[in-house]
Amino acid sequence: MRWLDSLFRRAEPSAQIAKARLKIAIQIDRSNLSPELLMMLQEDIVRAVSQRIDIDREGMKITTERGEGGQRLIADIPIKKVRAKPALGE
Amino acid sequence: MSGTVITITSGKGGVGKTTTTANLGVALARRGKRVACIDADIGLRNLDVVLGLENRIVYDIVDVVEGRARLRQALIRDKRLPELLMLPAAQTRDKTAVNPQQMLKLASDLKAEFDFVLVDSPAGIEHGFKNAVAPADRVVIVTTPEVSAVRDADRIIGLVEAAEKPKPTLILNRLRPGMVKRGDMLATADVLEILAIDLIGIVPEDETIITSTNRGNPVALDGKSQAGQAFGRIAARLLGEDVPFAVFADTDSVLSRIQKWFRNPNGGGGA
Repeated sequence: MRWLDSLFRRAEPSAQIAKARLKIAIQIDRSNLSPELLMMLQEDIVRAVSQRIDIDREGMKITTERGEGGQRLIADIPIKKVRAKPALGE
Repeated sequence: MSGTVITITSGKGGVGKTTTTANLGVALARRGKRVACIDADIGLRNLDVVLGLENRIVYDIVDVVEGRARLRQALIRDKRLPELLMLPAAQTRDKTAVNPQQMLKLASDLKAEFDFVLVDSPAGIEHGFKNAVAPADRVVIVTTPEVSAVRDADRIIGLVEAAEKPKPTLILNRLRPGMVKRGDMLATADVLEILAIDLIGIVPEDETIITSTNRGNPVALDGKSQAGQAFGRIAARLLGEDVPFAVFADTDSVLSRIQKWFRNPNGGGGA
């Protein structure tokens, strides 16, 4: 009865497909910081954050996004563990 | 007095920048505003034919910039609307014939005498776009509810921000309410969610645009068609009026096709 199913099942509306594809394409278009710059930023962040907590460097993600208030840099950093004795600088 | 320079741009070609510029010029002039429209698409002049003024061109924007003609000599007055004037693009030159500083000078001269200076930007993000955006006090982005046009609009929004202009507003052009209803066209809300800028108008797909452009009479001249009324509402919003957004009839429905056929049986109403 597959033919019956396919007869009555409505295909996903194409506008929804368009919207989903556009969101992804635009997200890539908007991340106009060069990959080199993003890598450098990632190193800077790792250095700063690692002083206080253990992080999962492999699982770390740096992206850019533009919303209401302009473009923003988003760092997603998985925490391994908070150090027992935080190394407080001076 | 000092008028406002509004640049109409889109990134993608063929979404209706020139039609929008012509009709907003007409709609603002009908409201008694003094309007100058500049065709900034040097080498691909078109605002003249859309406005129906192509037979009266003597001088163009490059003649003014290079000092062969005075601004007053190059401006063409619309006989139907004496408050509406147009500065045509040069047809035999390319976009590098004018630079952003010259556009700023030109726009500031026009601002002294007009309430509105509308700049019809060429497609693309290169030299011609930069010329068109340089003098803008406000930027209006035209898009259609299609992936390519919306994506390009997003690029343009970024470039307008980079040029340190105020946040642009959006005209959603050629919307087909029947297709939106069926889920086969991006809805206004979808486009606004993606682009994250304010809407200033929705213009429904309307065959009248084609027939009126054929004749060189912009739809906003009589304001009877759906598109003509839509441009009238956008003009009112540009003047700061709070005009609600219209909900458009489903022009693809069987009933409206029958109605259309009765109005114009030879018009191929079935298509």
